[in-house]
Amino acid sequence: MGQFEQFEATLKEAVGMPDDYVGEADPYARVSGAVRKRRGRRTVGIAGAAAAAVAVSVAVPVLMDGSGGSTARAGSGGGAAPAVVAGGGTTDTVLHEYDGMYAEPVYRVATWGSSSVGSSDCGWAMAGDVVKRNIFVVGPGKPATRLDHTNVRCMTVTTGKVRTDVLFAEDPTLPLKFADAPMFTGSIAGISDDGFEIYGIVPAGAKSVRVTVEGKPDIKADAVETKTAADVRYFIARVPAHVGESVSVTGLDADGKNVGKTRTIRTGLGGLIKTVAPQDVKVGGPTPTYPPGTEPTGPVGGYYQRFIPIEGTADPAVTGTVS
Amino acid sequence: MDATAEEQFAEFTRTRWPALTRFAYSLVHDPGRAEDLVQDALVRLWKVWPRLREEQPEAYTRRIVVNLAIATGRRRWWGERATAVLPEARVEGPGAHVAERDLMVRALAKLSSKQRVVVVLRYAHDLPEAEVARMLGCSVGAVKTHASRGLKALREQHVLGLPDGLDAVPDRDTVSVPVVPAFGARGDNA
Repeated sequence: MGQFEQFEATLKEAVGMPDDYVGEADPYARVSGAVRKRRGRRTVGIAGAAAAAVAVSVAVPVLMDGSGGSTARAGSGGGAAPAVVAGGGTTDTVLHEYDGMYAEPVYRVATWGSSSVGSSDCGWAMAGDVVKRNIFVVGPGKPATRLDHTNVRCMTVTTGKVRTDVLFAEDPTLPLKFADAPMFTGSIAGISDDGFEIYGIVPAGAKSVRVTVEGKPDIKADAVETKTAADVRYFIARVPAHVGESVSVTGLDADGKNVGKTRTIRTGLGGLIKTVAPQDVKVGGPTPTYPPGTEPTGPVGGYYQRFIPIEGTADPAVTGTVS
Repeated sequence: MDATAEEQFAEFTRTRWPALTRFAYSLVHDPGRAEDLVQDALVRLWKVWPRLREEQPEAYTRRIVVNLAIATGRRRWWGERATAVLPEARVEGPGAHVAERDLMVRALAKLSSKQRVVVVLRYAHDLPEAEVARMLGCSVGAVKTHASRGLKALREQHVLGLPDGLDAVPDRDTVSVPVVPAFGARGDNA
C-alpha cells in the first residue's frame, strides 16, 4: 500500500463512527420534537427571553459546582491560573450519566463543569475481553489470573462527552490489594489546548498529591476514596501543560509530607501511561521484550495489556498468558 | 404539511438517520454533535419537504450537514471517544495503529473547519472535487485550495503517509510518493 493510500485508509478509519454507537431509537420523534420546540420558541416574547437569561445566570454557577461538596475549581483557559480539580474524603455520589452503561453505579471522584472522574466496579462487563486491553496490578514473577468483577475496579475519566476508562485489578491469588499498588498516573488532553487532566491513584497513605509542571506554580489536589475501591484514593488535576511537557506527581500525607516515589509522566497524544517498568504482553502469544529505555507507552484506556510491577521488588519481568 | 407528506418525512428520517449521522460524525467526530447536526438539518428539511420530497432530500440534507459542520466547526471536537465498552485492543505493533488514528484525529482537529471538511469529503468519502464544491457552494478551485492547504497542514504534523513536498492535491493515479518514516515507530510517542 502506498503512503498516500495508507493515509487515506487511516483517515477513513479515524473518521468512522465508533462500533458501539447506539443510534436514536426513534429519530423522527426527536426531529418532530425539535420542530415543535422551534415553533414554540417563535411564540416566546422578549419578556420570556429576559426571564431565561436570568434563569441561566442563576443556574450556571449551580451546575458548575457539579454535585457540590468539595470540588474545587479555579479559572481555566486563556492562560489563566490552572484549574485544580479534586475531590476530598470519601464520596458516595453516583454519576447518573453512566446509569445503564454498567451494572454497578459509577461513583464521583471529582466533577467540574461537564467533566467528571468516577470509579466503578465495571470490569466485569468486559468479561474475558478485559484482559486484552486494560491495566491491572499483579505481583512480579507471578502469572496473571482471570479478571472478573471480584478483582477489577475501574476509573472513569470524562471530559464532557469524552471518556476514558482505566481498570485496575487485584490478584486474588496474591496478598495484593489495591492499596499496595504503586502510584499510578496518566494524562488526558483537555477539551482545549490549554491543559491536561492528570489523574491517577495515589500511593498508600497519601491524602493528596502535588503536581508540578516546570516553570508553573505547583498544584495540589486532594485524593478521594469511593465505594467501589476501598483503600484506593484517586486524584485528578487540570494542569497547564502542553503535549510533551514533563509533569511530576508526588503523593502527600495529611501533614503534607512526601509519600512514595514521585512519578513523572510526559503529556502526550491521547494520554500516555508511564509505569514503573512496563511489560506489554500480547494475549495468547509470547511476551515481547524491549531493550532498556525503549519500552512503549500506551494510550490511557488500555490499548495494551500492561503489567505494573510493585515498586521495590527486584524483578519487574512478568510472563505468562492471561486467560 | 399534509398527512402523507408527514408520513414520508417520518419514513425518510427513520431510514436515513443512521447514514446521515455516520456522515455527520465523519465531519465532527463527536456522536452527540453529529446527531445534533443531523437533527438541525432535518428540521430545516422539514420546512421544504413538500417541495423536495420528490427530488433529492438526502443530498439536500447532507449539504446542510456539511455547512452546519463548517459553521459550527470552531468548537473543538477531538479527544477520546466515549464508549460503553473499551475499544478493541488488537494491534499489530506496540500501539502504532492506535497512535496513527489518534494522531490523525488530532491533526485533523488542527485544520480549519473548511479544510477539515474538504479533506474528509475528498479522501474519506472519495467525493470528486466538483461534488464537494457543490456541497460547499464554492468553486472547484476553492476546494482544491482547501484540500491542498489541509494536506499541507497534515503533512506538517507528520501524519502518516503524507510525504514531504506534497503541496498540491494529489492525483491518486500519478502521484509519486517519496518514502518517509512512518509515525508509530516505537518511541515516537513516548
